[in-house]
Amino acid sequence: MTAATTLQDSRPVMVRANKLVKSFGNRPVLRGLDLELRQGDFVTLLGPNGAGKTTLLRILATLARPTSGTVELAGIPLNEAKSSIRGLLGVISHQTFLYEDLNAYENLRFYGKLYEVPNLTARVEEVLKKVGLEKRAIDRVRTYSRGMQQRLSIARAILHNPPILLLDEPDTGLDRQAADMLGDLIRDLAIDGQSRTVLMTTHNLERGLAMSDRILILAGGRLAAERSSNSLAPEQLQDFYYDTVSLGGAR
Amino acid sequence: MATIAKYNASRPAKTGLGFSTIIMWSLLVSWPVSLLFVLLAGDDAILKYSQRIFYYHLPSNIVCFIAFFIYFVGAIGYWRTRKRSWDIVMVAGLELGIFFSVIGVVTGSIWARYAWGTFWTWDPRLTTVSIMLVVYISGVMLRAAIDDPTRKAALTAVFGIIGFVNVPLVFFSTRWFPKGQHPLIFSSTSNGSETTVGLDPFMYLTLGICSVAVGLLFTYFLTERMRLGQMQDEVAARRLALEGGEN
Amino acid sequence: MRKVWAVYAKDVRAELRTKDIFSAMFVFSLLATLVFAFALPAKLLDPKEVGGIAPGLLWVAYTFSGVLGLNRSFIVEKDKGSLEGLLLAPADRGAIYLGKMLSNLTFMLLVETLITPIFGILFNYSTFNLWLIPVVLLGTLGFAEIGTIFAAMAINTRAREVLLPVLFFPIMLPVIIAATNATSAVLANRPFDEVLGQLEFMLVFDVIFLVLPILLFELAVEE
Repeated sequence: MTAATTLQDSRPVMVRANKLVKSFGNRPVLRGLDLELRQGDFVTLLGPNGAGKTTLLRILATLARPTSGTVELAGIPLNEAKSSIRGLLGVISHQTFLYEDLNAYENLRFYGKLYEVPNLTARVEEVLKKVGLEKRAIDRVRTYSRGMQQRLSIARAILHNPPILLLDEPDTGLDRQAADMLGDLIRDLAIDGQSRTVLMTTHNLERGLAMSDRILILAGGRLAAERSSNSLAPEQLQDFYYDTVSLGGAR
Repeated sequence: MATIAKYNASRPAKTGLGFSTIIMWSLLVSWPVSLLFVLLAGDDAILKYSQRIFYYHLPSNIVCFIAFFIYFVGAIGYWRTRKRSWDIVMVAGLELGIFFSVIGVVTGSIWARYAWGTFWTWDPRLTTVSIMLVVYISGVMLRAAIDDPTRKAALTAVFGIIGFVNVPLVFFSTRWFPKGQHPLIFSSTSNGSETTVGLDPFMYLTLGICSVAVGLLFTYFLTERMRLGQMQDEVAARRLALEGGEN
Repeated sequence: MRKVWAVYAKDVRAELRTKDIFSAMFVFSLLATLVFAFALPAKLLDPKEVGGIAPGLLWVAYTFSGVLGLNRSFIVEKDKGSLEGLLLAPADRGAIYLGKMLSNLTFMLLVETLITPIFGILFNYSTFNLWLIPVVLLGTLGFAEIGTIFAAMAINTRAREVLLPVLFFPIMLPVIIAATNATSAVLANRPFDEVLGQLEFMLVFDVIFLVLPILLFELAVEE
């Protein structure tokens, strides 16, 4: 099922997965998944727990190897890629990847060195301003609220200006207000002068629909549905989701 | 019913059975023969009767080393290819290595007891095999603590490579142990004052036959263990396919 | 190379803030030393006899506190997912390994430097000998090399930190044997060529197990 396109899409394909299979021993999680994201796409991936959303993201983030199938980032196949390909990715998860005993500056400077970010000091100031943390920058991360930690995590993720962002349930553990703020921040940064390609998973159907151009539903280890966001009204989304998932999940 | 019929029809013709039958028969023949030779062999001049256990002790140690080498080869194979088949090789090598090293240590200990009165001696070879045994048992514990099969294979491979490279280092370090006074049969150790005890031709023959017997046992276990691993995989895969098909 | 330094500096800086790892290691080795001093019969601790077992006890203390430190340094990474943060970066796995190995080495050496004189005082056994430095250095380096990669492996299993000692001790036996022997010889003021063999051995061990884990670290942390 593909969304109908009336225009020829000339944007480059930034993320492509082909017949992706991932099994843990004899237990398959992804059973032949195809995925294509073009530059500037903001795609939300929905699906029940255990459907393989996190697994898919981990494979795209190069943290896990697929059992079979291919993945390409910006046209480069992962199995031929060197470690420098990770510089294309910014990853945000419900884990923050932050060092709690260091302050924001130190955390960002550390990651900046790992990602070989040029003009590091200036860039660190810049991203801290973007996420609104410049006043708390010298405090240890341990003193931050969860929302602030996630914002710093975002700063870490965009520090090296990656063209691709992968977000795995970034709103976990946040109250509604904080999650909304986070959502706005993510949307702003996705544009931010260069169209980033964003793949986000979430359990919040409405927010996912509101933030993205397209939604994908993962069920039964495959892409069970794909819809452009304008084609679905928020009220229809919930029913559509449950219908898709119960159909897809039975396989 | 239809699925069972489909399953039966799709099974490949029986292969491999010929090879293991041959080995099995060879085993049934060679072990009694080896025992006969051991009993017929002459007494060792110094150690008298107790020396006879050596005929099984030495081949066991050698075979244990070969098994761990197979584990090492499997680990390199997995490292290079990430294929499940190498994991089966690794496990087979690991398990058999432990089995034969236990035999080696036990026979060595018995030999020491009857030859020199103590159950234990810090003889370099016995010490090395014992340390290897402990190392590889910890490898089994490593495997036991991992659920995900991919990770299990990966960590087994890392451990196998590190563990095997460590073996010559272990052997080398045993020379700093307190020295025992136990002459070795074949050659003297770094301490050149121990006498070389020679074997007469019949004893060499006995050793050869026992080596064949032990070697056959090892080969039998190895091939069967690897076949078992493959069959386990196959069962799991077919079960999965059947479940998928019926939905 | 710079990334190795970045990882190392980060570890040291974080540790300087909390001193968690260091204090745990130091207190533990202190307690171990005290237990040895009290639990062993006085006859063994008689100044003429103590040289027989003291080197062994010292290295036992080093070993156990070393394992403690290794565990703690990786538990920190696992809790916040920062090990994955490291793996996400475009850095060679070997560089990450090296950085962590060096920081583990630093903490271990620091604790050992402090505990050795205390040990010497409690046991009335002079540990003040410059030749001890290469022995401790080479031995601890071996600890850090094997310990770092095994800790990274163990921390991701069901048994977590309990598994590390199980994996660590058997493999380290050659080094522990050589090191205790060398320590004993050095502190008994034996001629240097007796110690040279052990030092060369430990050097070989250290070189081999510097290269291997760098190559294997990728395999050890992948999924």
